Amino acid sequence: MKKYLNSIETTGAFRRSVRGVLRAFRRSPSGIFGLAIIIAFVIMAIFAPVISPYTPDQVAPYSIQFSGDIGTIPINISSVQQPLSIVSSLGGGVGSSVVTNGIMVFNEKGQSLTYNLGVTGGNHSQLKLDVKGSSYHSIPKGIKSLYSVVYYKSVGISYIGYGNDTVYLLYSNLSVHYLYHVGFNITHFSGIFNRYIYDPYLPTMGFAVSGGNHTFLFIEEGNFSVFTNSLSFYSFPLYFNTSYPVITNPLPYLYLDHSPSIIIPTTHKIYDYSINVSRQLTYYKLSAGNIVWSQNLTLRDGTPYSILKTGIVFPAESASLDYNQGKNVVVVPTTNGFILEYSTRNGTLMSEVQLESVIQHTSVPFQGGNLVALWSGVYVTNQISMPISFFKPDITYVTFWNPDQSNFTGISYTIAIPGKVHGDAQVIQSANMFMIPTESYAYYMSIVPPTKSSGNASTPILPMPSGSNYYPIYIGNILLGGASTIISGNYVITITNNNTIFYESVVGYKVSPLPPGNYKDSVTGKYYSYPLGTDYEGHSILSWIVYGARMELVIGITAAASAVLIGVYIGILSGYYGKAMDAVLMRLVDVFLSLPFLIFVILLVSLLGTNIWYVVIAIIVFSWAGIARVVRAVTLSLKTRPYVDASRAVGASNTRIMTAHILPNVLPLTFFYMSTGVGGVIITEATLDFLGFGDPTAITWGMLLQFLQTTGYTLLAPWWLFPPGIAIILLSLSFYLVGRAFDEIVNPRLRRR
Amino acid sequence: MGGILRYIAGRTIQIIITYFIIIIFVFLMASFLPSNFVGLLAFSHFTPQQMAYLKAQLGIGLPLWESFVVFFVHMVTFNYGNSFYYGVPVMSLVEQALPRTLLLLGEATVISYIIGYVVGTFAGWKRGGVLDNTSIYFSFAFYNIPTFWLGIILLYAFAFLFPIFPLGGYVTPGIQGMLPAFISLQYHALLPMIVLVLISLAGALLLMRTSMLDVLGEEYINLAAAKGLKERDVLFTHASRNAILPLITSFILSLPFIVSGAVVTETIFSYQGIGYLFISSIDRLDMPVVYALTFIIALLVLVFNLFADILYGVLDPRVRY
Amino acid sequence: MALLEIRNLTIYYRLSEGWVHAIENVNMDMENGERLGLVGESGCGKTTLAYSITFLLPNNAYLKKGSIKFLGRDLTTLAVRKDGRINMFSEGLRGIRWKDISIIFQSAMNSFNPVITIGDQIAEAILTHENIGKEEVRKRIEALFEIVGIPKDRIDSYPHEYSGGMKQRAMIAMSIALNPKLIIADEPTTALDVITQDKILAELVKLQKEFNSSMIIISHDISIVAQLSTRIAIMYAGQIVELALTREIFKGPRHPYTMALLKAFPSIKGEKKRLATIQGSPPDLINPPKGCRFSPRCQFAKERCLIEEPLLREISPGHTVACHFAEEVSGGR
Repeated sequence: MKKYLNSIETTGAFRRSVRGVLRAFRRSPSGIFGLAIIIAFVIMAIFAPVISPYTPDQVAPYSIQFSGDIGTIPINISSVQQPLSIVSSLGGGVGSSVVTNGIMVFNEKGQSLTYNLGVTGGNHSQLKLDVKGSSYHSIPKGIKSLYSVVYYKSVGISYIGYGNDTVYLLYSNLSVHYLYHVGFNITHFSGIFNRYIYDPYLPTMGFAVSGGNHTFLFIEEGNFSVFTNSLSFYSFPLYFNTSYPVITNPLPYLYLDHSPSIIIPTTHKIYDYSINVSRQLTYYKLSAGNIVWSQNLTLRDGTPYSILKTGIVFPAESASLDYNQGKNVVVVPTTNGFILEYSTRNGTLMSEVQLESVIQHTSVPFQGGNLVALWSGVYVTNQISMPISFFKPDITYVTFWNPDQSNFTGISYTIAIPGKVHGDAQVIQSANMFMIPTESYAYYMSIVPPTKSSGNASTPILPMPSGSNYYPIYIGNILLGGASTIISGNYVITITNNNTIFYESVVGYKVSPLPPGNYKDSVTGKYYSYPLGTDYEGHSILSWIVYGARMELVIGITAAASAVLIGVYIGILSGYYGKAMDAVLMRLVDVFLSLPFLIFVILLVSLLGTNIWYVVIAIIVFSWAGIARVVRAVTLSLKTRPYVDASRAVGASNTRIMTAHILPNVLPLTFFYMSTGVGGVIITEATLDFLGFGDPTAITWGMLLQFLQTTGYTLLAPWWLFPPGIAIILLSLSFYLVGRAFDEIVNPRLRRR
Repeated sequence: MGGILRYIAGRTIQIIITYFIIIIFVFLMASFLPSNFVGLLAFSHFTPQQMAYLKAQLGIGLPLWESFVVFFVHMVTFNYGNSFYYGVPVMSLVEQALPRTLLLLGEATVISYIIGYVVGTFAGWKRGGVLDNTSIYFSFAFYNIPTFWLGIILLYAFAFLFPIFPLGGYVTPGIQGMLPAFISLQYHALLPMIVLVLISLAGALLLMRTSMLDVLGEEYINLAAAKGLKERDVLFTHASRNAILPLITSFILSLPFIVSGAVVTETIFSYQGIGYLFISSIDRLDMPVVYALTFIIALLVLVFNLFADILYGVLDPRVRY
Repeated sequence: MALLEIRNLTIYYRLSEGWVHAIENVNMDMENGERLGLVGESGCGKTTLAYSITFLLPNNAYLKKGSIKFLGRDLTTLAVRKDGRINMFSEGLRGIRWKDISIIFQSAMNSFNPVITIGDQIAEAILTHENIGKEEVRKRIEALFEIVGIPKDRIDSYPHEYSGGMKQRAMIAMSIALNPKLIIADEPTTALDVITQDKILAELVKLQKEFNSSMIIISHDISIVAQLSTRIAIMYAGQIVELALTREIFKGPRHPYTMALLKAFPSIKGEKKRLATIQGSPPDLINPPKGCRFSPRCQFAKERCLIEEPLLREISPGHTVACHFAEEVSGGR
C-alpha cells in the first residue's frame, strides 16, 4: 500500500490530507461517539463467547421453559410392604391414546393399593394430579410383574401378570381368572398384541412370555369371526410353546410377521418360525451377527392372509405401526452399528446400512461397538418412517428409517444423555415422544423428526428421583373431567425408595419466552442467567445480540463496500471516457435509480433464494447506482484538472490516470457513502428478514425480530422486542455519524465558517 | 410555455423507454436466475387454468424470444389477467389498493416535507441553537431506525399499552356510508402515517437544514438583511426559498425509498394498500399480481419523478426548458 | 455633526477555538460627503468595521465595547445585548438600513437572489421603507436604471440573465434607491475586468457627488482606494494604524506597514524593481501579540514596540498614526 501511495503524484498532498482528516475527525464529537459505538460492537462481536455464556443455538433447559406437573403420592405403607411395583390401571380409550384414571401398586406378597386419579386445573397450564381415593386389594402371591390390559375388558380380564413360572390373568377386582404354569422361569413379557384385521380366521389378540430359550405364546381361541366389539367368545389359552437351541443373552422378544410366523431374535440368530396348519414348526435361521433387538415394534399389514385354520401372529406392544405395507421384512439393529433388513418370507438379507454413515449432525461422534441398542418402532402420523434409536449407556442416537425405501430419511439427530440409561425406552403416543430414563432424569425425546426449519427436536428433561428400584413407566393420559374428550397429562410414574409414588407430566406449559432474570434448573440445580431474557425456544437474547453483531458487521461492511466500489468503478469509467460509454452507463444508472429499492430487492431475493449472501448480493445490485452517479460527476470535474493533462502529456495510460489521479481524489468523498451505507444495509437486511425474505439460518438481529413476529409475541415480550431494534439503531447510527464526521471534513460545504 | 411542453414530452418518452428497460430487466431476472419464477412452477400447485394463464400471459414454457414477446406485450398494455389467489382481475385489486397507498404516501410525504421545510429553515438559521441541535439528533436517530421496528414500537405503545389506535387494517369492518368510511380510513391510516412521516422527516429535515446552511453562506442573504428586511422575510423570502430547491431534487431521488417505506409500513399495520398486496402476493406466489405491482410501482416512481422535475422548474427560474 | 463617530469599537468573533479579536479599540470619524477608503490585508478587520456600522455581522460576533454614533444616535444601544451579542434584526436597526446606510456588495454575481427578478428585489428594498404603490415603485426603478444605464426592459429579468457588469450596475442602482447618507462599497471592483472597473469607479464617484452621500470604500487594492477616496484608513490586525488624507498617505506614509504596503504595489512609471513583499504573515487574532501588532514584521521595531501598544495619535493635522516611532520613520516613495 505504501509503495502504491508513493507512486502517486499527488502523494504528498494525499498523505498530508489523511493526517489532517484524522486530526479533524478528533474534533467532531458525534464522529467520536459513532466510532466508539462501532468499536464497542466489534469488541462485542469478537468477545461474544465471553460476554454471553450461551451460544445462539443453546436452549434453556426444559425445567426452566416448561412448567409441568411434578409431585408425589405417599403410599400408605401400613397396607402394603415393600418392595412395590406399579401398574397403570384401566381407564378406557382406544388405539394411540391410553387414558388412565387410576394406578395400582403391588408386591409379591399379594398386596395391592389402587389409587383413583383425576386432574384439576382449569386449563392445560395448571394441571395438577389429584388423588381421589385409594383402596386395598389382595392379589395372588408371587406376581412379579403385572400389566394392565385395555383390550380384554369385555372378557373381564384387566390384568396380566407373571411370576416365576406362572402366568396370571386377573379380573378387574384382581381375582384370578386363569393361571398357567409354563414350565420355565419367566423373565419377559411381550406386551399385548392386538391386530385390527378383519379376518375371520386369524386370532387378533395374544401375548407371550419368555425366559431362557423358551417362549410361550398365548392367543385367544374360539370361533373366529369378523372382529366386532363384542369379544365374548374369546378366552385363553390357546398356546404355543417354542424353544430354540441357542441360549440367548439378553432375552428375546417376539415380532409379528405378516405371514403366520413368529420371529424371535436372539443374540446370535433370528429365528423365524412359520406355523402351518398342522402346527408343526419349521424354522429358518437368518444370518448371524451381533443382533440386538428392540421392543415395542408392532407390525401390521393389510393384506389378507390365505385362509388357515389356525394362524398365529404375535404382536409387540400396543403401539401401532404402519410398517412396510406388504413387504414382510423385519428391521434389526446390531451391536456393531448395523441395521439389517431381512425378508421374512425366506430369510434373506435385503439391505444393510451402517449407522455411522447415517447419523449426521452429531456432536458426539458415533463410536460403534458396545452398542446397547434399543429399537423403538413407533407410528408417526402421516409419515411412513419410524424412528430408530440406539443408545449406549450414555448417548442416544435417533435416526429415521423409511421402510418404504428401505433407507434412512437422513434426518437424524443425537442427544447426549449424561448418566446411565436405566430402563427401557417407552413411547408416549399422544405427546409424540418417547422417554428414556436414566438414574436421575427422564429424557423425553420427540418422535417427530425435526425438519430444517424446526431445528432440534425438543428434549425436555425432567427429574427422576434417584435410588429407585422401579423403572419409570408411562401410565397414560389423565382425563380432564369425566366426560370430556380433552386428553391431557401424559404422566410418567415411578416408585421411590422412600415409599412414595413420584409422578411427572411430560408436556407442561411453555413459559418461554422468559423475561430477563436468573432461573434455576430444578433438575440439575444449575443457575441460568438471562440478562435479556429468552425467545420462545429458550435462546438467550443476549447471545443473539452479541453473536449477531458478527453477522451484521460482516454483511454490512461487505455490502456497503462492494456497492461503493462497483459504483466508483462505473462512475469513473463513465465520467472519464465520456461519450458513448457515458451515455450507456448513465442510462443504466437512471434505470436502476428509478427502481423502487425494496420491491426489487425483495423480488431478487425471492428469485435467488433465502441465503444471507443472496440478500447481500441483492442489496448491492440495487445500491451501486446512486454512488455511480455521484462519482461520475466528481470524475467529470477532476478530469479537467491540470495534473490530469500533465499526466497525459507525460504519456500516462488512461488506466494509470484513473487509478493514480482520479481514484484517490474520489475515494475520500465516497467514504461518506461507504460508512452510511453500512447502516442502510443493516436496516435493509433486517427489514427483509422481518418480511420473511431473510435467511432462516442466519444469526442476525432481523431474524430475531422475525421470529418474534411469527411466534406472535410481538406485543408480549418487550425484552425480545427492544434489544435487537436498539442494537440495529445504534450500529446503524454510529456508522452514519462516522460517515458524516468524515464528510464534514472532506466536503468543505458543511464546515463552519 | 412551449418550452415546458417540449420538456414534458421529452421526459415522457424517457419514461416510456425506462419503463421498457425495466420490463426487460425483470424478465431477464425472472428467466435466468436459478429459482426463477418459472422454476417455482415446478413445485407450486398451480391449477390448469393458472398454467394456461401463465403460458398465455407471461409466455411461460415458450421458447425465450416468444416468451419475451408475450410477456412484454402484456406488461406494456397493463393486461395482467386475474389473480391466482383472489380470482378477480388484477387491475381491480390494484384499483382498490392504489388509492389507499396514495392517500397514505401522499399525506405522509406532504406533511413530512412541510414540517421539514419549516423546522429545517429555523434550524439552519439558528445554527447551534436548541432547535438546530434537537433537529439534528432527531434526524440522526430516526434516519437510522428500521421502519418496521418503529411501526411495531408505535403499535406497542399506542395500540397496545395505551390503546388509542387500531391494531391494523385500513378501515373498521362493517362501516357504512362515505363520510364515516372516510373518517375510519383516516383513523386507520394515522399510525402508519405517523411512522412514514417520522422516517421521511428525518431526511427532509437534515437536507433542508444543510441546504439552508449552504444558502445562508450566500451573499444575497446578507443583502436581504442589509436592506432592512425583517428576520422572517429574510428567512422565508430569500433563504428557504432557495434552500428548498435541493430538497426537491432529494425528494425525487428518495422516492424509491419512500415507496419501500410504504411497503414495510403497510405490511406491519395490515393496511391493505399496494405494498401490503405486493408482499402477500409474493408469499402466495400470486404471480400476476406480483408482476403487475412491480411495474405499476416502478411506473409510479417514474411519473412522480417527472412531477417533481416540473415542480423544480417552476420554482427555479434558472432552469429553462 | 459628524456623520459617523466610532469610539473604542471592539468586536470579537466567538469560535470553538477561542475569541478572534477582529477589531480592537477602533476610533474613527466620518463627515458628510466624504469618501473614506479602508485598506488592509484579508483578515485585517476592514469588512468587520464597515459592516458593523449597520450591525450586519455573523451570529458569533460580539461587541465587547465601544460605541457607534450615526448622525448623533448611538446605534449600539439599539442592537447590542448585555453580553455583547448583537440583535441583528432589531427594529431600530432595520429602519436605518438601506434608507440611511446601504451596501454595494463585493461580488454582484452572487449578491442577488437567483429566484427573484432584479426588479422585485429592488422594489423590496424600496417597499421595506416606504409605503408607496406599485406604479410609483416601478417608476422609481426605471429612473434608477436610467441613471446607471440599464435598459428598462430588463427590470423583470432574473439575475442569471444579466451580465456581470449589468449586475454590478443594478447593485449600484439598488444602493442609491433610497438616497442613503452612507454607502459602503465592499471591494467594488474585484470581480470585474479592468475596463468595466474603470467605468464603474467613475460612476460611483459621480453618483456620490450627485446625491451628496458619503462613501466607505473597502479594498485590499490600494490603487483603487487611491482613485476613489478622499481619506484613507489603513488597517492592520484589527486596528487602524494610519488615517489621513489620500494625498498624505501616498506622499508621506508614517506607519511602517503603510510604507511596506505602498512599496508592495508595482508602479507603471519608474524603473523596474523587484516586487517588495512584507515579510512574515498576519498575526493570529485569537492570541494577538502584545504591544504593537505589527512589530513582528516591522523593520523598525524596537523593544518598546513589543511591550507597549501604540495608540492612534495625531502626528500632523488630520493625520493620525499608531506607531511609537512615527516621527523617525521616514516615508515617501
